[in-house]
Amino acid sequence: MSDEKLYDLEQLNAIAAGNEDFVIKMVSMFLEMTPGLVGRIEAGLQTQDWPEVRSAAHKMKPSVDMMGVKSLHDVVRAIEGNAKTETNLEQIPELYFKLSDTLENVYEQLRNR
Amino acid sequence: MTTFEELLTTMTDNFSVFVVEDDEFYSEVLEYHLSLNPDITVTKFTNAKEFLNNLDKNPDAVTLDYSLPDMSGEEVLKKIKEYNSEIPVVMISGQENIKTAITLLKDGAYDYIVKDEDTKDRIWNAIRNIREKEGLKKEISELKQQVKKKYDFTSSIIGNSPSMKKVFAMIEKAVKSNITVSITGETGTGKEIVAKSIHYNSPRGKKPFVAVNITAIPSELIESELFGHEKGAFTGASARRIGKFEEAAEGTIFLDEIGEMDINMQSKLLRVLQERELTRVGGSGLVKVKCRVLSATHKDMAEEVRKGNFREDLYYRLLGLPITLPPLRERGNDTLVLAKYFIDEYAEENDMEKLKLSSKAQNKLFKYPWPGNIRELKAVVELCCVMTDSDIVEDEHITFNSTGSIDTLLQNEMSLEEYKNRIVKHYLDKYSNDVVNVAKRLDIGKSTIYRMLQERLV
Repeated sequence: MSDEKLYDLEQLNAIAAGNEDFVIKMVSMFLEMTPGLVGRIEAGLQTQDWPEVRSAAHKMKPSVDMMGVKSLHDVVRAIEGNAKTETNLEQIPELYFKLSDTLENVYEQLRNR
Repeated sequence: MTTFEELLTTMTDNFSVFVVEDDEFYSEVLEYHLSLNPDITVTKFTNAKEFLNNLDKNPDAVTLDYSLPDMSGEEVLKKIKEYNSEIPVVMISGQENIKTAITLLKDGAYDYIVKDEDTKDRIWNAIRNIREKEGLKKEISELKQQVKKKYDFTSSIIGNSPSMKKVFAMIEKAVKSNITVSITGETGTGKEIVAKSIHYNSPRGKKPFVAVNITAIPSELIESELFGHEKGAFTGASARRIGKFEEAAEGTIFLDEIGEMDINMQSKLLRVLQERELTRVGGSGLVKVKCRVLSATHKDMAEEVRKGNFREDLYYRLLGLPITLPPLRERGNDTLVLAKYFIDEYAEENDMEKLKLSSKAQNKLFKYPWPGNIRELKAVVELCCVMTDSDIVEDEHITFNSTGSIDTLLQNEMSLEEYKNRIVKHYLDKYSNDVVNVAKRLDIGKSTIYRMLQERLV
């Protein structure tokens, strides 16, 4: 696992306005919901169901941004964009692996924060 | 940018926001963020169907995700606007699309916000602006109600005399119909209050009331004042300006002192009233006239028509329902009723104990002829409220200042001849040097007046 901190809760903390319970709640939601969305992208990739890939990536954007996972900012948008226009589809698996691997590390770091 | 604390201090009423968002994470963030203001109540919906089923709760604002699972953002927006076009809808989209944004804004969306790091501030601003706008709308509505209450003629026009009961009956008829109304009465009898009462109690009450005093506008400007002008229509017309008729829109225009209107302007006004359309000065396009017309004068308009000072066709066009306001001297006990009303009003406005009129004071007020009518009575009463040092207004506190007052005139102690000259001069001034009319009114010969004029006695 990378030592580099992959998330940044600055934006979430700004909204929380000092309410740590809210931060904890949102981190828990992220940890609960995101694996399901990653699973939907993987399943969509396997069946080449591009609308499903687009939909899951689209839904992931706000939470990835809110958790400050900057390294995935462009990745998740590239998956969504390529799936939407069904262009550069060959790039999606690689993007997916980057997304999936990074998120695994993010989950780990968040659980241990 | 307004801070959260500033926002808290400016918002006090409860404000209901429906958040329609299928992304639970984002929905949670929005709810938390908006609920930081205790005045905002957030209700979350994860799909369009559930939200639309609750639309009858009429939220104050809606934040609507563009990509819902069961319906497109455009469709949901359309359904909201069909139900109630007044509900402000802030569209929130996962990606920026200018074409979509333009379409949604054209369809009535209040704002279009893209989910990014600035979203929370933009939503704050949007909700703040909506609340400010709603606050202003409520304020305007309340003020309109207050104005309506103020001009409820049963409380704003005071009097129990038989002549005023006739006036009330006529006002009621004017309120219920859309007829043109002409109000006549001496100066200070309350013609404008009657006009406002008719307007604010009529179905047009929520539309503009525009009063124009014909004598207050120079004759060369009256046409552009009433009908507006185009840019460059005359020297100084640097921009297009709408006139009073257009300003009144579907409300009421009140033409006060109509009897003073220049004869050339009368023809132009007649054409506008006949055709129900006007042309701005310097323009060629026709503008529809939708307002109701009320007019007032202190003159005997039938007499003005006979003398050729006022067009007969315009007179009949404006006559409609004639309401004649009696002078105060012919309203019997109304003088005291009104005096007591003004005393109470003065005491209330100035946080004073209620004042009473002594019987001598009542007698003095009752006997005075009130040439300035109610306007004069109000001024006299307010002055005596100031003059008294107790809670009783005595007769010595009452001072009449009217220039037409007989008491004042008598105080000058002139000779009978001098009084005669003054009286004739007063009548000649009042009736625009119309010797025949003055002679008839004073029951003296025309030659007497001509002689007085020749000898420069008047």
